[in-house]
Amino acid sequence: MPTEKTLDLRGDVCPGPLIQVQEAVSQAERGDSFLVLVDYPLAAESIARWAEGEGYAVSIGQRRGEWEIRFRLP
Amino acid sequence: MGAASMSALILGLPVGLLFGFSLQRGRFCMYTAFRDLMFVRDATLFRAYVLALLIQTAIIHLLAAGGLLEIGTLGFPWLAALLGGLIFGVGISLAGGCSSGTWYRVGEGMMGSWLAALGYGISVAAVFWGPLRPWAALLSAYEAPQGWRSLPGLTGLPPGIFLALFVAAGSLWLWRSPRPRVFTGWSWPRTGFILGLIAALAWVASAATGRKYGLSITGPTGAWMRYITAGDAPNGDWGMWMLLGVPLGAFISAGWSGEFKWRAPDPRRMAMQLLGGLLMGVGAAAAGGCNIGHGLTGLGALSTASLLVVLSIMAGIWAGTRVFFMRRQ
Repeated sequence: MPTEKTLDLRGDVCPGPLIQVQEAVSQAERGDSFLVLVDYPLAAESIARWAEGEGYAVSIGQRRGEWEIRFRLP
Repeated sequence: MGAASMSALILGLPVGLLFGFSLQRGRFCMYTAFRDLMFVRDATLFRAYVLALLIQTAIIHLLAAGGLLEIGTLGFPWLAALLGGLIFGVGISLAGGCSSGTWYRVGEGMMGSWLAALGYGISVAAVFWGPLRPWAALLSAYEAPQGWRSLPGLTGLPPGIFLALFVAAGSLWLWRSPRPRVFTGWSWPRTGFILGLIAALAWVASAATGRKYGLSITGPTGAWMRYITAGDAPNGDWGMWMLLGVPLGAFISAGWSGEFKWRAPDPRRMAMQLLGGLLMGVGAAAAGGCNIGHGLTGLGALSTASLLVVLSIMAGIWAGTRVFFMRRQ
């Protein structure tokens, strides 16, 4: 059963956020989707780029210094 | 304010503002650039760095060939470069950003970077003027032969040939590199191109004040600490104004794009950032520069010490990231 996981990584700085996302994804099932919250500009970019590089469909939204990154495992 | 510091302000602050603005737009951080390269096999930010290095190098050596710019050569204290780079590399892993990265994040409102910058300034001053001075002097006593100071000298190639090979090989690699989709901020080609122009501009602008070097962060960081605590700052003028522009430029950029926010990680992470800042200062001051002073400016001037510092920084990042952040794997 695919689930949606939320990772609230606001406040954390490099390299924490990307490593935590990678760990969470490595324990996820096919079809699971992720919502990642970050407030570190570089982390938003590197998480989105990594997820797209892995072949996941990525979307990103921004409001006042915070980002929401959504992607789903195929 | 005398005429000399007025010209340092006019020639330094705008370069720093541009630098900080572009670092923030490009999310440019050499800690992340090297870490992504080694741990994620992602060379995106590293490409921005290589492009900036190539652009700056080509421009300043053309200007030097035309007699318009003087490029001084650095000494090659190999032990100081090796050990200083290692300590700095571990430091930036803990601080969550390199020296330029830490200073621009001050302008994004990241309190952890404020602590790292503070630690960085204190320990640079401790090495330059304080209790760690004898230790740094001991390290820098180990000098390599004079002929090894420049990369053309070390490789035995004529400087023109070395430069042509360096720029051609780098350009070819970048030309064939992918240009991934950008989600926020600038793409790597734009970031690298603009930072390269700013790095070259820094050489020219600071030469007009009598300073024979490009961008540097460590010297000015120590100079601010010295100025604030002791009232004088030897040889600090241009660099101090430039450095002041970095967080201000990043603040303008972050504010303009709706990315400014006061934020702080948990207390334990902040303590690590303070410790990282202290290690950064010890390492960079011992090595005679950081990822900018050596990694961009010194390497652009083809100094061998700078290449060794960059390689040591990478080794330090590898060790620091493995030990402090990847234990669970």
